Amino acid sequence: MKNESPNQPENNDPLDALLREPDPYIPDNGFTTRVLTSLPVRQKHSWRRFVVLSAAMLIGAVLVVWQLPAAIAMFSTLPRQWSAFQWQTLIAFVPLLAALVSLGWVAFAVTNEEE
Amino acid sequence: MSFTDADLIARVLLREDHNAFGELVRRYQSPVRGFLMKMTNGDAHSADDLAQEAFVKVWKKLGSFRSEGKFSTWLFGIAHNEWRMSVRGRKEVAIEEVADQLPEAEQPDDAAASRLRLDLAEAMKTLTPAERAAIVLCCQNGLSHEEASQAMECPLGTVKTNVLRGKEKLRRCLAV
Repeated sequence: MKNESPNQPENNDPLDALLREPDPYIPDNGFTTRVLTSLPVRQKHSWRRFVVLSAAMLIGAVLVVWQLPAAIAMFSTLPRQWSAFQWQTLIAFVPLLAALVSLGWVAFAVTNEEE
Repeated sequence: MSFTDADLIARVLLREDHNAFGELVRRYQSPVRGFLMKMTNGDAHSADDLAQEAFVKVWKKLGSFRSEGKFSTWLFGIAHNEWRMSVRGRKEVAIEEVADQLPEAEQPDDAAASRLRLDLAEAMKTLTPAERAAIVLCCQNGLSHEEASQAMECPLGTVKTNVLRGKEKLRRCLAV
């Protein structure tokens, strides 16, 4: 009968016999120890991650809600005040920016949680 | 008492047991390093670095291992992927086209001389990386064609073709 599966050894095939000779065992020589010392900490307590991310999202959302009316008001008057631009105006946006960044970070972290 | 792979994996996942993971590494370090040694054309240093990266990746991704498959198949898949990532930067895959022609390029007189000096390890270097991986996984590590296709992330037919073509080249090189 013809051999249907090519990865089965063929009878009396010297090449198959040669290929199927077991490779010499490679001694460990500290390899396992090197692997174990290079292991990162596994993310075991994913609920902690969830709590931290949720807290960050909550804070971010509160900051956005808190700062949004002021930011809208500032944006609406910005063209008229452009000539009188001051750095304080920019600083007023920092909390809003921080809130948006935290929201973005949370979204990124949640989508990459499996990685 | 000897634990099965599944026992050790369960211990790693449930208790983050380094000893259990160490046992898995000890169990498979020789075949994985041997496989990568062949894929890197005998570069033991690179092979060990890749094997270490592969085992670290196993540690990170062990939760995604599906127990219906063999652990060794999954492990060889990760090792193969590590090797593939490493050559992607160095463009060694371009060697495929050159290596593909080596056996045919030999003259009959040269072939006689080659028979004397080429042992199996040298002959393996004349294979394309895909042929080499298929031969090493299927013929030397006992994976089925289906398992090798999973490990190499390529179609089953491609693995079978690579095994057949690889063996044919080896036969020509070794004159067996």
